[in-house]
Amino acid sequence: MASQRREDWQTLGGIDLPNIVGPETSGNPPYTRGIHETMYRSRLWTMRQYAGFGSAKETNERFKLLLERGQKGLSVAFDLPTQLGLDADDKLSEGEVGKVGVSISCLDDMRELLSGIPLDEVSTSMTINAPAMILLAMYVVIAEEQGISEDKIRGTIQNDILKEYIARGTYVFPPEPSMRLITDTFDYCANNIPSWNTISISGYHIREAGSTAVQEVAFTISNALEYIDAAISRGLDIDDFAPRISFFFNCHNDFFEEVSKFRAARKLWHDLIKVRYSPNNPKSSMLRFHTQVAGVSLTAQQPLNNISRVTIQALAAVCGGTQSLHTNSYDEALGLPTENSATVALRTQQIIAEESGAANVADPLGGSHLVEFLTDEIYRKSKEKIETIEKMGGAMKAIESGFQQKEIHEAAWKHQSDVENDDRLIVGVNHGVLDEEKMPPLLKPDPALGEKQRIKLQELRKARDEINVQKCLGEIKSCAAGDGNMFPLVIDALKANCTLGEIMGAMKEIFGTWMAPSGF
Amino acid sequence: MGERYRIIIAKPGLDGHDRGAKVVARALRDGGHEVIYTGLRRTAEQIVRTAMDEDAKFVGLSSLSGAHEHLFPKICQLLRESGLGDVIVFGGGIIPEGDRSALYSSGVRAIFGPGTTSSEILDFVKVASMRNCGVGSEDSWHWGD
Amino acid sequence: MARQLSAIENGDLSSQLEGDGLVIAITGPPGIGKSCLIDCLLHKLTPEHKIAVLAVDPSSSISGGALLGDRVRMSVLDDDSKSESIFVRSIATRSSSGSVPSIVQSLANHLLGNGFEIVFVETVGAGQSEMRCAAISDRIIVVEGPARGDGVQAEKAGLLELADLIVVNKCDLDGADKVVNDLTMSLTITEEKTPISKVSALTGEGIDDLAKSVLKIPVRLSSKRARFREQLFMAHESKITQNPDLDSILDRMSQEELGVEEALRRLYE
Repeated sequence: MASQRREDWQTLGGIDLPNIVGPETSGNPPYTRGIHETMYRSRLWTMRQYAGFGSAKETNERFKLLLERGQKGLSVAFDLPTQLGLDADDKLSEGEVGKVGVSISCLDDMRELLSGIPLDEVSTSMTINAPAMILLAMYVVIAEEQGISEDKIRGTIQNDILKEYIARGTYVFPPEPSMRLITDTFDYCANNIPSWNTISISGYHIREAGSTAVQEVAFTISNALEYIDAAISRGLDIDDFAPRISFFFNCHNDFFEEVSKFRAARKLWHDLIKVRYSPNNPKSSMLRFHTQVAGVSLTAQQPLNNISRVTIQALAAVCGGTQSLHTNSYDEALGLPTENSATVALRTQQIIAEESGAANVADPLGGSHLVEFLTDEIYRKSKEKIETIEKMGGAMKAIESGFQQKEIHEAAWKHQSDVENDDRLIVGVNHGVLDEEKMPPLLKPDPALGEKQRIKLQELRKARDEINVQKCLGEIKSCAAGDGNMFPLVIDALKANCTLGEIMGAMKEIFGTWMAPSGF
Repeated sequence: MGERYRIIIAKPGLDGHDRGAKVVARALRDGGHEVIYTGLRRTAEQIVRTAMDEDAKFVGLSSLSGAHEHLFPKICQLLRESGLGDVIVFGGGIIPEGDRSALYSSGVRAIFGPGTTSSEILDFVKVASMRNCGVGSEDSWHWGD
Repeated sequence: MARQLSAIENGDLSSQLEGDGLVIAITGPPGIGKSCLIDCLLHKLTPEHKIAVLAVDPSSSISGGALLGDRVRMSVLDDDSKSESIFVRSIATRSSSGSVPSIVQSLANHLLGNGFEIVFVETVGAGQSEMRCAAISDRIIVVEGPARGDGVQAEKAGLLELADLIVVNKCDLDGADKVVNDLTMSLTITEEKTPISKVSALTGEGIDDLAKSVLKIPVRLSSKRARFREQLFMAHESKITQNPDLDSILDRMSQEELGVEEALRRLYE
C-alpha cells in the first residue's frame, strides 16, 4: 500500500476511519471506486487554477503568486489568437489580444511567461488544441534553456481537436490533418517526453455547450476511441500512449449525478479499453481526469452566490475521485477573475481538502443506493450512445454529419425552455431575484497590449535571419505534404524565431482550413 | 403574430462558444422571425456585408471573449458608413456592466447577459422596430433605459 | 440590389430584368453536403465568374419563422479576393405559399439582370414547392450520397427525372460506390443516361472536374421536358390562385351550383 499523509485517520469527533468502507476496494479494475487504493490519503488532488491574461509578464506574476499561495501545478490560459495560431499582429486578432488569456506569438513570449519558474518542479497544463504541438515545442525549448532535458518536464496539453469541432470552436485545420498532428505529438512524446500527458480529452466544453451528463461521458469517450484508433493505425502500440491519455470533465450542480458520472466513466473506460485493445499495462485502462466546475452554472445575478455553487460542485468532483481540480471564481459570468476572487476559489478547494473530511476515505459515497443506481444508469446510457456513434462510422464521421452538435443544441434548448417556464429554478435568475444589485469590481486587461505585441513582433521580424526562417517554414511545408513527424521541425523553426502564426500559416497552406457544421 | 423581420445572428471575434447565439437564434425563429446565422469568427466587415446582402433589419452580436469593446462599435460604424443606418444592433454574452454605456452610445440598442429570457429578446425586437432606432438614428434610447 | 430582392420576395416589386446567364439548381436531401459543394465550386469559379447563390430553406410551419444557416458553410466568403464576386442570399419558403418557386425565379432573373453570370439555387428536394424551385432553373444538379441504408433518396422524391447531372458527394465514405451502382441501375431504364459524377466536398476529390463541367452541362431532353411540365403546372396553378373570382367560385362550388369543368372554364376566362 502506498504511504499515507498521516498515520491515523479520524472524523472531527474522533471516530477511527478505515481507508475504504464496503466490499470492493479502489485501485482495482474496473476502478469504479477510484484508480488508487489510498486515493487522497496518499496525495491530495492537484489544485490547478487556470490562469492567464494580458501579457506574458503579467501572467508570470500571477503564476508566482498562485504557487506562493499553495497551488501545486500551473494551468495556462491562452488568449484566442494564440489558441487559433494567429500572431498578435494578425488582422483577425484585433480586439482579442490578451483578453481571455495570455498572448503568446513567439518563443520570447514563452520565455517571459516561464521566467523564474522551475520547470523540473512544477507540472504545467496548457489549454491549447489546434496549435498544441507548437506551444509544447516552445515549452521544450525554454526548458532546455533552463538546463532541463525533455524527459524531466511534466505537464499536459489539451490537444483534443474533436471536441473543438463539437463544442468549443477553436479548430483550424480539417479533421484529418488535425488527427495527424495529434498522432505526431503522441509519437514524439512517447520517445522523448515520457512524463507529458499528450492529450486531455475533454468533456468539459461539451457540457458547457449544453449537453447532459450522459452525453458528456459518451461523446468524450467516443472521441477518445477515435484518437486511439488513429494512433494504432499509425503503428503505435496501445501501451505506448494510452497511459499518457488523460481526461477533462465538467462538474455541474446535480451533486449525486456528478459523483456517479465520474464513477461510471471510470468503469466504462476500463471495460471498453480492455475488450477492444487488450492492453498489458494496467495504466492503459485507467481513466485519470482533471475537473473544472461548471462555468455555465455561474450566474451574473448576485455573483457571491456562485461561491456556494462552486463549493457543491467541487465537493462532487472530490467525492468522484478527480486527479486535479479547478474551481471557478465567483465573478466569471461578469468578466475575468480578480486576484481576490481567484484566491477565494483556491481557498474553497483547501477547505474541502483539509476541513470537510471528504478526502479521508476513498469513494465516500460508494454503496449509496442512489449513487450506485445512477452509476449504473449513466454507464448503460453512455455505452448505448457510444454504440450509436460507432454505427455512424466513429466520432469523426458523426461530427462531420453534425450529430453531436445537434444533440447538444437540443439539450441546451430544452434547458433554456425549462428555465423560462420555471420548470427549473435558478436562484437569482428565476427564484430569489433581487431588484437592485451591486456589481463587484472586475479585472480589466490592458487595451494597449495588442499594440505593444505588434511592435515587439515587428522588431523580432526585423532582427532575425530571414533566410533561415524561410528555410524552416519550407521544411515544415514539405513535411506536412509527406508523412514524417512534424514535431522536430517545429522546434527548429521556433529556434529560428519563426512566429506561431507563421508556422501555422505554413501548415494551413498544405492542410487547408475547415468549418464544422453548426448542428441546427 | 407580429411583424416578421430578417435578423442576423453573428459571432464577431474569435471565441467559439456559440451556445447562447444558437439558443437566441432559435428563440427568434420560434417568435416568427427569419434568422440568418453566420457561424463563428466573423470579421466586422463580413458581418456588415452579410447584413447588406441579406437585407436584415436587425443584427445580433454575441461575444464572450471581451472583444465586444472594440468590435461592437466598429460594426455599428461600418453599418453607418455602408448606408445601413436603419439596421438595429443588439448584443449579448459576457459584457461587464461598466462597458455598457460606451456600447449604447456607439449605437448598440440592447445588451443581453446570461439569464436573459427569450421573451425579453422578442419584446425588444418589437419595441425597437417601432422606434425605428437603427444605428444611424439620432435616438439615444436603449433597452432597459 | 439587396433591397430590391426583398421587395420581390415580399411581392411588392416584380422584376423586369432578365439576363443571359445560367440558373443552376442544386438539390438533394438534407445533410448531403449541398452547401459544402457550392462552397467548393465557388472557390474554383470565382473571382473569374460573378456568381450568386439563393439558398432556400423551409420556414417553420408553427411560428412562420426560419433559421437559415447555409452561410456557415460558405468559407469562400472569408476570402476577400473572391467574396467581391459572390452574392449569397438566404430565402425562407414562408408559410405554405405556392408562390415560392415563381419568387425564386424572379429573384434569379433579377440577379442575372444585375450582371451575375450564374445563379445557384440550393434547395432540399423534398416537397412540391421545393421541387419546383428546382424546376424553374436552366439546369438541375441532383446531389446524392451514401445515406444510412435507406436507398437513393432522390428517386423516391421523383427528382431523378429532372436531373441533368447527378453528383454523388462524400465519395470518401463507404457506401458511395453502392449509391452509384443503385443510381446506374435506376437509370438504365431511361433512354438518355444522366451523367453521374463522384466527388468529395471534404477531400476535394472530383471537384476540379465538376467545376470545369458545371458551366456547360448539356441539357437532357427528358429532364427539360419534365421541367417544362412542372412549369406548366405552376403557371396553371397560379392562373387559378391569382384569379380574383376564386373565392366566389369556390363558394358556388361548395353550394353545388358549379361543377369542376365549368369552374375551370370560368377561371380561365
